[in-house]
Amino acid sequence: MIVDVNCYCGHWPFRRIKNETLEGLLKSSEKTGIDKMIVSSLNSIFYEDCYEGDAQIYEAASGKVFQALTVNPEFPTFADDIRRGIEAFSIKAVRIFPGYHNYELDDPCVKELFEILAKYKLPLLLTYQMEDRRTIHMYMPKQLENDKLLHMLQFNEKIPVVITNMHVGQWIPFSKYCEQYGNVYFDTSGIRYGQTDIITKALEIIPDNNILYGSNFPLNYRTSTLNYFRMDPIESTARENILYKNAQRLFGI
Amino acid sequence: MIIDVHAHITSLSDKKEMLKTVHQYKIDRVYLSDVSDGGYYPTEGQIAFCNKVTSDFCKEHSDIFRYMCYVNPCHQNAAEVIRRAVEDDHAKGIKLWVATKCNSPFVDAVMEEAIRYRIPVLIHTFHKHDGTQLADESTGYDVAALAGRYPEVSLIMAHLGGDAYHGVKPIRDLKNVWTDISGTIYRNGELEYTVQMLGEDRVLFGTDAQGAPYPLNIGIVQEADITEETRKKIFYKNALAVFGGEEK
Repeated sequence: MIVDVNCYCGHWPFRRIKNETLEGLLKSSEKTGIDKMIVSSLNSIFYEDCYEGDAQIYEAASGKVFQALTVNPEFPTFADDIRRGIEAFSIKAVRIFPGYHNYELDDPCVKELFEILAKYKLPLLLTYQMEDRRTIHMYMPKQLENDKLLHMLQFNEKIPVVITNMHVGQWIPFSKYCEQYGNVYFDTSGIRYGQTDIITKALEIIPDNNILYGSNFPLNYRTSTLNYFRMDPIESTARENILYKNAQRLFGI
Repeated sequence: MIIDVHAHITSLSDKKEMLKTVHQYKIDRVYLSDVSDGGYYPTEGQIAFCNKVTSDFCKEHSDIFRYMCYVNPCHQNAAEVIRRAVEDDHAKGIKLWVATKCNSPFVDAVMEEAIRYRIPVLIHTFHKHDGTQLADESTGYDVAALAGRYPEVSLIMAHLGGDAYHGVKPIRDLKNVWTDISGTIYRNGELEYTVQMLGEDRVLFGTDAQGAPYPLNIGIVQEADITEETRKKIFYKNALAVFGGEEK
């Protein structure tokens, strides 16, 4: 089984992506062997009311996919949106895009966000980046500061936080944090360097309980990261944990 | 069959790991260069060192690896470096990195040798939007200008130009320019866009190994919405057309 915890549908306004629709996502899943997904809305990143983007997914998908609700904690109504997202969409997680929205990770609104997540026992998907910065031709998002990220994690150690699309070379400062607190996770979309046994080498930095399969589709090709599991030998427990068991545990799916 | 037109070695490379890599991922041929010594502006001695690393390794493992001669076009001995590389060490092509923009007058001597020996020139090409562009780093526009001046030389624009939406259009109508997909960016849709712009005959498989992993770049070609014949062309047929050789 494969669960993709980091994928999207919606419109990415910076270039044409033909399979960015829900239909494209579902077809891609069938083609690449993805069984379940935690889907976020690309539209929500850019909508003033993020909730509307997730409503669009729900209207189109009618519960066929699991959703992570995007919030912008700068807007005070985000707490109510989370409540409504649970009731209306049965969301499995909350997602934030701090690079695109106007707050810092040490702002009071982020502290409030974690209080809400604790109340509803929801994990957080934190988008480290959407694309390689060298290719971003307009609207350069904020680069997240790892010190602030570590600080945020330390003071919210009960909430699982999945950091998506962080380059595997940047995982190293979080390695000791993982040993001590355990609530930080990484997805596979940022694993882009190495020669052979790519996942096995990533496991030298972060344990297999703390890595989940995530593709960043439709911005990136899924087969590229799935190939690490198809072309390299990986110890079977680690493979199962990364491909689906960690996701089942974290998101209750 | 898979032919990687763009991979690297260094003097510090784990040679066993390199051999393991090509066997594990069933790579049939690799065009190899070393650009690691001397930073962006290597000296003649550093160029010589890099080329010795590559040529020695390729001689020892000539069943798979082919030597690409690294050149700093600003050196007075650039033409001689290429001549020795081809005549003595069987270099199959020329590699240019960032010592000078590929359309600078310094490169003319390199191009004359490429014409003499009928070998392609692989050009690091990367446009960066984030302010990290190197002073002498070529973009698709530079490759296009060079290609226009030397229509008889086969050029390979590496990395899809860094950002395909920036790099591919300038070379669209220049039939002597191919591009390789090498790198770590693996953006969905970029390969399809490139094939749409250039046609299926001018796109090559490359990785930039030992940086980018083979599974990543193989996955791009496997998943892209292209025909099976186009897939084969990208994986190896186009490379055979550029470099010569026979299908396995």
